[in-house]
Amino acid sequence: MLITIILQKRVMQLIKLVNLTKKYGSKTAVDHLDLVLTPGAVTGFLGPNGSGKSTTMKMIISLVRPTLGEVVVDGKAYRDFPEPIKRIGTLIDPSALDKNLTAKQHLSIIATAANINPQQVEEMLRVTGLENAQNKKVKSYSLGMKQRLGIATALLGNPDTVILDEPFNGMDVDGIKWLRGLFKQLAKSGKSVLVSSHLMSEIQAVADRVVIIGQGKLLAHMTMDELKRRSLSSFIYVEANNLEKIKRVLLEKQAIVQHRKAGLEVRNLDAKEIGELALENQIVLHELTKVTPSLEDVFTEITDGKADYISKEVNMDETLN
Amino acid sequence: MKHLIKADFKKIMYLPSYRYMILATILLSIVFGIIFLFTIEVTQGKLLTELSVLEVIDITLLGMDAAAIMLIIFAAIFVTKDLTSGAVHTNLAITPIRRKYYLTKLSFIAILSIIISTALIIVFFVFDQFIISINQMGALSFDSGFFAKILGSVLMVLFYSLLSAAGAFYFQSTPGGIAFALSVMFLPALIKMFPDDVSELLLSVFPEKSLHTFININATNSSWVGAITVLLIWIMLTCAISFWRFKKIDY
Repeated sequence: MLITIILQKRVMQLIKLVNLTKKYGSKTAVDHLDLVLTPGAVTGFLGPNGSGKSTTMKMIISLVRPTLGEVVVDGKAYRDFPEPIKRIGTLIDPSALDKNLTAKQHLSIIATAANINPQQVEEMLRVTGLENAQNKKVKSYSLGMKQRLGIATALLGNPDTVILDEPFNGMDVDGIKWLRGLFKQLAKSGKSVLVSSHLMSEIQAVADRVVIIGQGKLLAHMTMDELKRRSLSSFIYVEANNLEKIKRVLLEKQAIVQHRKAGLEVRNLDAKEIGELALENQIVLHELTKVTPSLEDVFTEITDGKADYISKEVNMDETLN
Repeated sequence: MKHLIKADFKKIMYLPSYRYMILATILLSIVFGIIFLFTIEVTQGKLLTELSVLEVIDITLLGMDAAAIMLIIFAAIFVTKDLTSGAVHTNLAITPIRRKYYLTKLSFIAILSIIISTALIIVFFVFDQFIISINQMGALSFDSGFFAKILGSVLMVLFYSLLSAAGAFYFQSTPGGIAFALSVMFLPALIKMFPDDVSELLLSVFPEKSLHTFININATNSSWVGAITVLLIWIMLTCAISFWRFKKIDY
């Protein structure tokens, strides 16, 4: 049914962030961010804690006023749309609602305020799996249920773009599976999805593109494949009967070689070239593996030195004593 | 804006705390009005039967003060609950134009105040008619003095609840909104302790005197214009300052 609803609209909405900057006193939360969100794609929004993800999302929907720059949605500011909730649906904080209301009452109030067909309330409760809990007060909900209600709120106006801040938090396995499916359906129907998460594996599973920011600055904006290709983390792992000999051969061919475990980490040459070189030089290869980094590896590599809050390894025994 | 106000009414229908508060406002006002009337012998040394018809109405309408205080509390809670519980994220996503959001909340408080105070006036009127008829105190004349009293009572409730809502927007807190409105309401009592010339000057800028102009049957047209001007300046200035603050806040 959700597919039916969302397929009714195949609008490719363009959201542009132009020189977007937000300063809180001397602290710059978002620093001259230029970005165009790709329509019809799920974009993962990543960054260390305090990197400016939530502030950016809030600036898109005018909750936070930019110090500099602007957010343009189809040539207009979000606040200039007569029915903005029908353009961009957002989930910023799942606990941001009156906990003494039931899910149905909460959605019904929003539907009334935004002049949305009341039938859509029933539909969203069904889509988000809250049908059986619709008459329970929100204060009795788990975080996962509140996330579902937040997503129902975001989708209530059948918007062209959906912005979700950490929607996987508190979700159980079934909820995560459901969210993955939902993102795919939304993107398939031409909607743009911007989703932030600390769960790299989930972003890797759902996102077509990734935006990485650190200390408010744009560090990367590309497709998942481009990101992996460009990453220094991608290499060929080689184990051979004569490690020193193959290392010499590879270095002669301008490869970047580093020792790793019982073998070598090779960059700048692909597996085929390494195999052929080994054959030419009569070296027996024990292992030749292409190591593709996880999004977490790439993220760590890109944001290295760009995090405001870094935890240090400590000896807890000593600390507690 | 119509839909937003409708949604606010839906909210008070859904949330028992708001419903009970409105019920308490109505009951307390009625009880206070009746108590003031039946204790008149103790407070003013007059028998009930010695009062004029207009005095009976005047006394029971004192119950409207209780309504004003309860609505001051209600308005502050209603405004800040949306701002501080985080629900503001959803509300401002629906209504990103802050001016519209602000005006909606104030309009809702204004409509609710008018509905409650009108309902109370009807109850008091019926009750007073009953008292007047069983004590054979004469007939009530629907002259300008009568309507001025009614208008004054409605305006007082409306005025203080709007002040409270504006205060809540400015301070972003329930106590802030309540304290602001109650200060404006009760400061004149303290000012009266100053020498006459000083207190006379200070009281002329406070709304209490203007609100009493409507109840005073000897008030002239010019004093009415002056009173309305003072009240309008208070509301416009308070709202302008609190909106300016609200507009600048990042949520």
